[in-house]
Amino acid sequence: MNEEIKKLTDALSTVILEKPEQIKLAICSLLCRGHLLIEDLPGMGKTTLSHSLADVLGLTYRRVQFTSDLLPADITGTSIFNREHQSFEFHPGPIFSQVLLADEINRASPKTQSALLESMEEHQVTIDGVSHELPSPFFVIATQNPQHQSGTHPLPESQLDRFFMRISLGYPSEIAEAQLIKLAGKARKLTRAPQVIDGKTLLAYQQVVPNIVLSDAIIDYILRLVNYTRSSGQFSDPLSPRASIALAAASRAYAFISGRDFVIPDDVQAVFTSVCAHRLGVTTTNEAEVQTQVFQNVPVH
Amino acid sequence: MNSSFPKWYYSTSLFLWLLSIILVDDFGIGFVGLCTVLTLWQASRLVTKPSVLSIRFINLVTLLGAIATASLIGLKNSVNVFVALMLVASLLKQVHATHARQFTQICILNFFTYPCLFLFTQSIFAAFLVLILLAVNLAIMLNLEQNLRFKSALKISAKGLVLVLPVATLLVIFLPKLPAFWQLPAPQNQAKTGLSENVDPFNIANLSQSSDLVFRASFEDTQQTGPFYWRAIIHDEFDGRQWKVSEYQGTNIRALPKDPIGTATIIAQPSQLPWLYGLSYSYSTNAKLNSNVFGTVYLKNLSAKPVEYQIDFTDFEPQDSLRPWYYSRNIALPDDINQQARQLARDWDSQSTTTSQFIELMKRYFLQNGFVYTLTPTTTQSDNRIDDFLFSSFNGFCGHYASAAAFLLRSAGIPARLISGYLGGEKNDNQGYYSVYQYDAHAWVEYFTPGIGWQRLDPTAWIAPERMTGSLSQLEQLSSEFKSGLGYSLIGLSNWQSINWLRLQLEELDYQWTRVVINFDKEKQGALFKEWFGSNGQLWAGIFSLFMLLLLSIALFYLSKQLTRHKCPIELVYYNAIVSDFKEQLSGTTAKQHIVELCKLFPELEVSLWQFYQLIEKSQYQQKPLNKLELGELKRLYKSIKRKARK
Repeated sequence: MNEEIKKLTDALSTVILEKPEQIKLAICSLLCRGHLLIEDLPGMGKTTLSHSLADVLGLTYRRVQFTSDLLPADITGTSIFNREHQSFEFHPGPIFSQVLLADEINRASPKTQSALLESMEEHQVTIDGVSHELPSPFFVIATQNPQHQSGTHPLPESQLDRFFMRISLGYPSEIAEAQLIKLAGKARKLTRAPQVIDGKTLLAYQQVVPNIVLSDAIIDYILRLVNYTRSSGQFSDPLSPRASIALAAASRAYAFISGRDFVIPDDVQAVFTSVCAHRLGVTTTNEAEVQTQVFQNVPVH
Repeated sequence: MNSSFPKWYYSTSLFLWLLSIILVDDFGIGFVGLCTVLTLWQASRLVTKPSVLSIRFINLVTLLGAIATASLIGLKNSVNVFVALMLVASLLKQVHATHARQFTQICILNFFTYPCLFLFTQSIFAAFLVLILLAVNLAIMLNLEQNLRFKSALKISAKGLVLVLPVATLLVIFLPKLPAFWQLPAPQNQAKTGLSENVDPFNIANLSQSSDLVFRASFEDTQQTGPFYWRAIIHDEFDGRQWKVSEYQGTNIRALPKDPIGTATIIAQPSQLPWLYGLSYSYSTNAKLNSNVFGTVYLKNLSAKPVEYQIDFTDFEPQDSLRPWYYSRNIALPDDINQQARQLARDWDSQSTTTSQFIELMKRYFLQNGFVYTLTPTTTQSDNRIDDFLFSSFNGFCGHYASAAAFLLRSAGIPARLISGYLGGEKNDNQGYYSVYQYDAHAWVEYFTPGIGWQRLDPTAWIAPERMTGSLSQLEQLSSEFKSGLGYSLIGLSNWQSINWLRLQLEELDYQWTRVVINFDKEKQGALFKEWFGSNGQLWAGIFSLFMLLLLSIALFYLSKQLTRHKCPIELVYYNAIVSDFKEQLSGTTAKQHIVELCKLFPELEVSLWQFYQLIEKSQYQQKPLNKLELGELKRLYKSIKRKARK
């Protein structure tokens, strides 16, 4: 494993116990400048993960708790009349940070959701005809509850696509949970993950990832996977070319994390579900089943 | 027109046009014109973008084309007409072909059209040309089927044809030479230059020269020296206009009267006449041939293929007298013509006591009166044509001199006959054979002297002695005259040494081709089998060929398997072989996972398995092709893993 990245995962592992895969995938998404959707039941550590990610990377971090009455301006910011200067002044919203945690994104109204997703795509916010650049790196971690929870507005498929990956943490093991119980109640400062790298280093990493070798054999494998979702007829929303590109990028990042400068099929398989399941419209509960089915039907070579 | 076909498809039109040009001697210039028009039409349709032709119009044009072809060639030459119709059909079909299916039909038709060239010529160049045309044809079909690019399609088709060559060789050598179930009538050549059965030299204004090969001859005894008078047709009847072929040309003998003084092997090109070529007095034991009383040989049946035969030859037998009926036949002349010549002969006869004195007088006459050898003589239609030649025109070629000499001899009561055949030949120094071309055609006289028998007399030799020593092509005074009559041919360029060298090399290649391939017949096959397999040659050859066929089909089976598998790089072939041996399910599991599992199964192989994986990883995932050393290593690992794991 890449030494630098190992420090990152180690630091995160002190907070998110025994979830190395999910941690790697989250970093993967970061390295690809992709936004991350964490889907899980309440109280599973979604917020903690996103919080810690910002901490270890040393990025500015804001959190917005999405509710049904949240308005777009509450995220993007708004212009307010300043009497002294006799002019409108722009007050940036919480989106103007390097990491935005959009907690419980499916609780907000579609209007607010789409305002956020638009700025995620454009990396800028336009208010009163004036464009405001978002900081770089800019990274949104959204969490959401599975849709059978009441009072939610599920994200439409087209907008789910904006998220590079969807991961879920799942229940911790007994040992991990016991440790969590022990730690509970202590001041947050004590349980906080230390900063490992800074924004500049992250940018440098992000530039290395596209140079990871993606051989023809791997491209063929990716194409076979994507084509399977299109031709098998089992998926109502087969993968788009954007998905194949994302799959390739994620595989590269995963190879980078693993300390290789080339992609192997194992990388592709490792990121496949996180990158593709939400695009295929597969619910978190079905993920494992679908993954087995796809991998079994698509030969690696 | 639908221009969806690549332009190079239409090279087919050009090829067909080329074939029509090659066969111009057989089809006539009119047909070449027709093909040219069709090809130009095709070309114009390629350049512009005209509308799709209506079916009615196409049918009309096809009908017109068929009628034009039939009328240009004549329905009598059935083979020629059929071949020509195929050419025209292929050309016309291309003009209106719009679908891939239609072009496929054209290609299939062309597989039959191109080899039709073999009906007319079997030279090695024809074989090469047809091979190339077939390669392009195959490439077009490949392109239609698989949408390959021109270069790769041509490469594949050429490769295929080359691969087929060993099979073809095997078939030629081992396939039993069965007699044909049915036979195509040989294509009829319009009488070309060369020999004809009735000689009337006075009718020919311009002796057209052809560089077509007539035959090639090689002597068992390479010391034989010329001049070689190749006798073909004996003319012993003169009707005042022409010398007619002897009625006894077809009367056979059983054996040579004397021991042979030499043996020659001759490969004669197909001709419209059965009369073949021999030296002074020849006899052949070939089953296809008869030998006649004149000491010449002839074919029992005309052949469209070159004929190879052997002759034993000897000098003329001394004879005291001719039989009376035969004597009178050889001095017979029509009355009342050429009175001046008869008078001249009578004068010489009275001045001389022996035949040789008479001939001496004749020679002096020719030399003193300024006779000239020319290929463009003065023509005459008069009844007294020999008088005209002897007393006014004083020019002519071999036919004139021989004709006049024979007439003079007969007038003096000396039995004489006209012989037509060939003189000399071009020697190939490497192989020691002689090539005789149409322009080597010659005519001379044989006369009878009691006690000595028949003797040869070549009056042309007095006028143009150089003609004796070399081929006509090497004659300098006549070279311009000769070449103007020859038309376009490499021989016309023989002044340039390099071109001449090239011509001789090509000539030799064709000789070998004709000798070894075209004339590989039942006897030669039998002889070869005997040499290879001993006395039971036929049987062993049969067994051997069956064995080879079996071997070949097995090889083909594996080759096809290999070809389909070849899409996979060799590294993966090894990998799949290893994995499929131990795991039923191939898909879904990555190479690394497989190796991990295999390591669990065979802990002792762990090191080699990971080395193996590393090489696979390098070639497949790092995009670094393995070098030879690494490939060898991979193969070694593969073999050792397989071997150990089997245990």
